[in-house]
Amino acid sequence: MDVGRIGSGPDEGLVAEIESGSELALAEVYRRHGALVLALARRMLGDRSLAADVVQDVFVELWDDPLAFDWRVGSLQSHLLVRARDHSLERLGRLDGHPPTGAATHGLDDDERDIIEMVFLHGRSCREVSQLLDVPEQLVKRRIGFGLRRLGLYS
Amino acid sequence: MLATKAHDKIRGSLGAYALGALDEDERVAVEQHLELCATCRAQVAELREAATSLVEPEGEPPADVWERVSKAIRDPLRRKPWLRRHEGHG
Repeated sequence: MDVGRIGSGPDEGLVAEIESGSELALAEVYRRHGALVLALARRMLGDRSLAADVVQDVFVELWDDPLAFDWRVGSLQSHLLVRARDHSLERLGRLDGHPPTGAATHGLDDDERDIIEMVFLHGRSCREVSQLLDVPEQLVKRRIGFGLRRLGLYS
Repeated sequence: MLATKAHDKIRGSLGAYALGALDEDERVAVEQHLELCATCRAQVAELREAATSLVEPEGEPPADVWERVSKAIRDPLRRKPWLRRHEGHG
């Protein structure tokens, strides 16, 4: 597959080219971010085939509606990851029966990691986590904030 | 700044918002604030970036999955409206 001059431009440019109908641009986005999207879907679903379905959904969705990506609230990579998370949750039906077997999440303490996984990977709301753990909702939000900031330092 | 009170209240929820963990009413309130506040938008962007560290990619993205994407987007029933117009499908 010859991606030619597409290879090194910024993601935003690729999205504009996708909007113009460039499959090469979509292929380049897949080359850059497909592995991460697949890794998240596998982590949540525990099944490579189901994860592949999610990856397909995410990239076809990007093709169909590239303007759904709002560059003001994050990178294309984080947008694709959030979409992968949402598609995976739909497949899971928001059930708790498939807890991801997580690799250690560098730098987080147990509470922060557990809470972040519960909300992001299990799809729990802060309100639900607060009830499940019997802690104030504000504390849940604080832990999320601290945990993400620590993750940000390590990335 | 007009948005100051809302800003202070919302700042603590930005991490939860970035991870999709807010209930509908709070999510809408944050989104309305984000329309007005570049500082908070930048915060959300940073928090979302941090979340991408939660998983590690395993090698190259697989070719077989790309084949499925490529095939799906070429499905004539899925063509983008402007392509249909230009190709003159009857």
